[in-house]
Amino acid sequence: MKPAQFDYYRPTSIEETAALLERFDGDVSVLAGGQSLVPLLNMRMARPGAIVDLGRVPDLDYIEERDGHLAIGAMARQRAVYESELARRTCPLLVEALSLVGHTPIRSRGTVGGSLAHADPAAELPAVLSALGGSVKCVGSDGERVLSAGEFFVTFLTTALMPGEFVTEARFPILPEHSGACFTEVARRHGDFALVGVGAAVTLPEGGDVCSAAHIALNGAGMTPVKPEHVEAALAGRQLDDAAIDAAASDVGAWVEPSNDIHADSEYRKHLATVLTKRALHTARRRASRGEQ
Amino acid sequence: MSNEGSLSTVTLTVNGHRYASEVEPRTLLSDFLRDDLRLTGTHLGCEHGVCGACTIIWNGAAARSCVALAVQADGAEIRTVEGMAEDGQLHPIQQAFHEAHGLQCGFCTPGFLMTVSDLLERYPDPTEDEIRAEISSNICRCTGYQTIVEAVRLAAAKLKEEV
Amino acid sequence: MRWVGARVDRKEDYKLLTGAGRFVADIDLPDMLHCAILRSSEPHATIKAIDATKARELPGVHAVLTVEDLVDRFDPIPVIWREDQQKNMANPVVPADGRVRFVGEPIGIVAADRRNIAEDALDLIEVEYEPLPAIAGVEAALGDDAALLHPDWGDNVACESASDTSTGNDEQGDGVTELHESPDVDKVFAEADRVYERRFKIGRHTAFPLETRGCVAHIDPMISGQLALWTSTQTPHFVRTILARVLGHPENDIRVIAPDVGGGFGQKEHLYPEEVLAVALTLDLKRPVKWIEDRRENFLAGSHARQQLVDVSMAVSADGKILGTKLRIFADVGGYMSNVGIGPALSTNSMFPQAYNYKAHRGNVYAVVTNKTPAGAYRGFGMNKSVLLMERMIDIVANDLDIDPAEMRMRNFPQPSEMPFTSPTMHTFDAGDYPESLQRVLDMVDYERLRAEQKQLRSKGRYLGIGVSHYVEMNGLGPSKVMHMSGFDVGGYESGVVEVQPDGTVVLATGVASHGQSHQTTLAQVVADQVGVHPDKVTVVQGDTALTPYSPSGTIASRSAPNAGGAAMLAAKKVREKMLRVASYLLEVGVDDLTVEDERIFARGAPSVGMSVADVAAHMWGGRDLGDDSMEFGTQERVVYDPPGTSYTFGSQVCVIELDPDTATFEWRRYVVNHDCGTMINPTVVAGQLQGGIAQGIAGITLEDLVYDESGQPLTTTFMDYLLPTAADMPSMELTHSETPSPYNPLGIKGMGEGGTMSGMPVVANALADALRQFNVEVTEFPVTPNRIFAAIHKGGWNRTHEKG
Repeated sequence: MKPAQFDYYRPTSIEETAALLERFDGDVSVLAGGQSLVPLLNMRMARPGAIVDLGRVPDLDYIEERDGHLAIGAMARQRAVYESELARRTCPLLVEALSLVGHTPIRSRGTVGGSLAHADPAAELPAVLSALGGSVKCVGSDGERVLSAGEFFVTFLTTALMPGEFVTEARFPILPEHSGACFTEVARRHGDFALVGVGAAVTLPEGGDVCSAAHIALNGAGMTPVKPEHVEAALAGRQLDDAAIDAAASDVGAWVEPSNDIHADSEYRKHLATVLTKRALHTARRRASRGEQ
Repeated sequence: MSNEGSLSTVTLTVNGHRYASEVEPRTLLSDFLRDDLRLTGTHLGCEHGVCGACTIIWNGAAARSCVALAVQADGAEIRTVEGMAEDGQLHPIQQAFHEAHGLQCGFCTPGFLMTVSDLLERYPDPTEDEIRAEISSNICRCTGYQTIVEAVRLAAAKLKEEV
Repeated sequence: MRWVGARVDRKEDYKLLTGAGRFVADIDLPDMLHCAILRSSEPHATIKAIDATKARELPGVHAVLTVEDLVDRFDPIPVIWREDQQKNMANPVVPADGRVRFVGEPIGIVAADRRNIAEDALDLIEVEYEPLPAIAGVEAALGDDAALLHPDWGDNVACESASDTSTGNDEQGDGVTELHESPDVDKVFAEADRVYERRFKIGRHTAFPLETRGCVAHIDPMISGQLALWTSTQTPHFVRTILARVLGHPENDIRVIAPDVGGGFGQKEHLYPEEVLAVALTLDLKRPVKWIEDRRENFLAGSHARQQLVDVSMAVSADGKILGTKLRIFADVGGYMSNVGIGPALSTNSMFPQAYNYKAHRGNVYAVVTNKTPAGAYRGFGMNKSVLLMERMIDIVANDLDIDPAEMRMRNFPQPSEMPFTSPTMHTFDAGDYPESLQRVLDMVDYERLRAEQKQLRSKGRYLGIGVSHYVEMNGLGPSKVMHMSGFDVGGYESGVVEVQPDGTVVLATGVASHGQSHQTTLAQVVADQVGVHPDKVTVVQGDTALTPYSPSGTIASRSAPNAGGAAMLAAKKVREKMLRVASYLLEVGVDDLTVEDERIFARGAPSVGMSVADVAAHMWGGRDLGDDSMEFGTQERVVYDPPGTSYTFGSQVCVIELDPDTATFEWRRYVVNHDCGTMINPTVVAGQLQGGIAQGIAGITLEDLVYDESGQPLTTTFMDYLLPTAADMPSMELTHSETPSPYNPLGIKGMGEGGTMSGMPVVANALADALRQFNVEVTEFPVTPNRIFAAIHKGGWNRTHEKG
C-alpha cells in the first residue's frame, strides 16, 4: 500500500495554485491536510498525475469572524477550529460536530476545507455547512466565486468545483442570540463515519417557545448532506413544543432516502434519521432556552 | 516549488536532530522516518490512517505519519518514540505503561505513547471516559485496553508529581 | 517457590517502550530487495494467461515470478490436521491446476529496489481470467447445482466427521475411544419432555495482529551460508520443518528466526505460500529479499476464522435438566483447508457439551469449501463457539421454561464431589468447583438485586440485559499421543534447556516463541525458583531454530506456560539437583541438608556454610573435581516434557448492558469474570491475557465480520469496514481468580491464553439477548449489529423457530 508516482507541486500563492490546477485539467489532486487523500493514494484508489500541496500558500490558515460568518481558511486544521474560542462562541454546532470527526490525531492534520471538498455524504462537516446554510469560496484562474452548500455538494464525493478551482474558505453563518444547536449521530464506533448524523439549530427569540428559524441537515442519509428545507420551513414561526418536534422528526425520517451498505440498510437509516432529529431538536431547544447555545 | 517525478529535499527536525534528505514525493512520512532515518520505532499497522501505530508528534500535535507525505513535513518539528526516554531513563508515560502492563506484543505501543503524551498535555487529569474516547484513535489487539487505561491514569499521576 | 505467583514486572518492556524492538519490518540488510505479491482479483476463475513483460522491463524490478515459473518448483504445503477421509491433504504454493479459489490468492511475486516499485510492477502485470461461478457461503456450496471448487472431489465438502454416543464412535477425535456409557441419542430425544432446535450463524472474523505477516529471506554468509528466514511467526521450528519439506531443501541448512513478533493469535502459526515465494526469490537472486504484508493483503490472505452455520438441538426435562444434544456444524473453510483443516470445527463439537452433566450427544461436522480466504486457527480454536452455542441454547431453553438462566446452569453442573467428570465427548475435567465459580460472579453483581432492577427499569421503558455464562476450555496441548489420535499431526511436547553460566546467571532455551505472551518474564520466574536466583538473572532464549530445542507446535493452543513452563521447571530442577550434589561435595554437607536461595547454596540451619551459585557453576564449568567421575562437566540439563494430560481452564462471568431500543445501540454497565487457570505464574500477565482475549471475544459478537458479496468479492478490506474494537468499545472488566491446580502439570499450571475469548463471546451474546428477550426476540445470528438489533425490534427479525413441547 504505497502511492503510485505523481508530480508534486508546492505553490506559494493562490494565483500559482490556480494556474497549476488549470494546467493539469482534472488529472490533479489538491492536498490540504491529506487525511482523506493520502489513504486513497496509499490504496492506489486515487492516482492523480500531479498533486498540488496548499501547505505553502500564505494566508489560508485563519479562523475569523467576518460579516456575520465564521470564516475558516482552507488550511485551518480541524483541531485548531475545535480548540478555537471564537469557533466555540460563534459556531457551537461546528465544534460539536468536530468532536465526532475521526480522532484527535486525524484532526491535528485534517482541515475543515478539505473535508468539505472531499464531499463524503457520511461526513459531519458538510452536514454542518448545509444545516447552517453556509457557503464556500472557490478560486480558479477565472477568479473567485461563492457557492452555497446546496450548490456546492453535487453528489457522492463530488462538488461543483470546476477543473482548476479549489476551496479557499468556508463560511458558517453565525446564528443570532437565543439560538441553540446540537450535532448528534450514531456510528459503529467512536470516531467512525456516522451511520446517520443530524445537525440542528433553532432560534427562540427572547427565550420564548416560538421558533423563529430552524436549521437541520443530515449526514449518512443520502448522496450528499441533506437538508429538509420543508421541515425547517414548517417549524419556522411555530411553537416548538414536543408535538412539533415529533412531527418534524417523522417528516425528516420519511423524507430522506439513504442507501444501503454493509453497516446499515436504508430502513434503519431512515429510522435513525427520525430518532436523531428528534434528539437533536430537543437538545437544541434546551440549549436555546437556557442561552447556552 | 515544483517537482516533476524527481526528488524533493526534506529538511526537518526529529527528536531534536536536524535532517536533510532527498525523497521521492510519493514517500510517506512513516516510510521516511523508518527507512531513511532508520527510526523504526514508528510502526505501520494499516497504512490507511486507522490503527494509530504510526502516530508521531508533529509540531506539537499527535498525527498519523502513514497518511502524510514526507514532503509535507518539510520544515516540521517531529517527535517519535525514540525521543521519549532520556539518558536511558524511561519517560513517566513509558514507566507507567511498564508498571501497569500496558503492553504485550508492543507493536502498537509507540503509537499509544505518542497519543497519550498529546492527551495528557490537554487533559492532565483525565476521567476514564476521556481516556477511552481519546485513545480510541489507536488499536491494540493484545490488551483489551484495560491496562492501557490504567497506564494513562498512572502516567497522569506521575506527571503531576513531577511538576 | 518464590517467584512463581509474583507480579514480576516484564523484562521485555524496555526495548518495546523505547522503539528499540526489532520486528521483521525493521530488518535492513545490504542489497536487500523488496517484494510484492501478485494476487488473484477473482474469487473463482481459471487463469488463461499472465503477461508480465512490462513489469519485467520496469526500471528497479529485479525479478517477476508467476504461476508458470513456480508451479513445478515446490511440494505442496501439507494440511497438518489430518482426518482419514479428508479430501484436502495438502495445498500447492501457487494453484497447480491454474484455478484460483479466492480473491487474494498468491499467483506470483515481484522483487524490486523498493516496495513502491514492486507495487508499480504489479500494476503492469496483465492477468487474463476465465471466471467460474463463485460460491459465497456454505448454503450455496451445498446446493444441488453448486459449482465445484475442486471438481475431483465430487462435492464441496473437504471433510466430514461424526461422533455419536449411541454408537461409541470417536471419529470426531478426542483421542479417547473408551466410552463410559452409550446412551442412544435418538431415544433420549424421543423420550425428552422438550426438544429445542435452533440454527445459529456465526460471523467470519480473524486475528488481525497489529503487525501483519512478513519475512526476510537471505542466504547468510555470517552463518555458514545457511538459508536464513526471519519471519513473523508463532512457530519457528514448525515453519522450518514444513519449509524444508516444501522446498526439498535440507532442514539443517535452514535457520528460521522469529524476531519480535507483533501478535499472532493463531494467524501466524504455520508456513504460508508467501514465505515460500520469498525464499524462492532469494535462492534465485542470491540477494536478501523482504516481504512485508500490507493490511489489505492481510485481509485477503491472512487466514480467516470462526465462520460457521450450526444447527443445534437440545433435549431437556421439564425442570431444565439437559438430557441430550445434537449438532450439525457447517464450517466455511474458504477455498482450501488451511493448516489446521477441520480442527477448529471439530473442537467446536468436541467442547460443545461443556461441563454440563448429561450423556447423549451426536455431532456431525462438515468442512465446506467456498470462494473465500482459507480459514484457520484463531484464539479459542473453535471452542469459543462451543461455549457460545451451548450458553445461548441454555438461555433460550431457560427462557422458555421460565427458569432463571443462572439457576439452569446450577441445575446442570457436575458437583465438586462428582469430579473428575467425563463429558459426552469424553473430556475428563480434572478438578474445579463450577457452582462456586458461577456463584462468585453472581454475588459480585448482587444478581438478585440486579434482576429486580432490571424489572423496575423495564417499567420505565429502559432495557437492561444481563448475561450469565460459564465455560470450560481444553488447552495446553499435548499430550502428543492425544494430538495424533485427534488428527493433529504434530507433537505436543516441549523441551527446556537450562544452564547456569560460570558467573551465576542463567540461560533457558525454549522452542516456543513469545509474541506478546511475556515468556521472557514468566519462564524466567519458573527457572528462578528452581535455581535460586532473581528472574532478572535468567535470560530466556527463544524464537531461533539454531539456538533453541525443537518445538513441534510452538506457541499455540495456550500451551507455552504449561508445557514449556513444565519443561523449563523440570530442567531447572535437574540443574539445581546437580549443583547441590557438587556443592555437597565441596561443602562437605549432606545434599539433603542443602538449599539454594538468593544466589547462594547453603546448609539449612547454618547459612554461613555455603557458597554462591556462581562459584559452584564456575567450578562445574571449570573442569575441576566434581567429586563423582561419572558426572558430566558443566551445568546444562535438558528435559523433554510431554504433558500427561490436557488442562481444562474454566471461568464464569456476568455482563450487564443497557439497550437503547430507539437507536438499536447499547452501553456497558458491568463485566465481571472469575477465571481459573490453576497456578498463576504471574497474575499481572494472566490478567492481561484474559482481558485481551475478552476483547477479541466480545468484538466477534458486537463488531467484527468479514463480509463477502454474492459474487465472492470481499467487502471488508480496510479497518474502516472491518471494525476492530477500540478502548471506547470495551467495558471496564472486573476480574477475580480461583486457583485449582492442574493435576497434570508439575507446577499446577493450566493454559490461559485463549480463555478470554470463551468468556467474551457467550456472555455478551447472552446480555444482548437478555435485553432483546423483552421484545420477544431471540438472538441466533452474530455479530449482533445495530442494524440487526433494529430489525429484530422493529421488524420482527430473529423470530422463534420451531420447537416441540
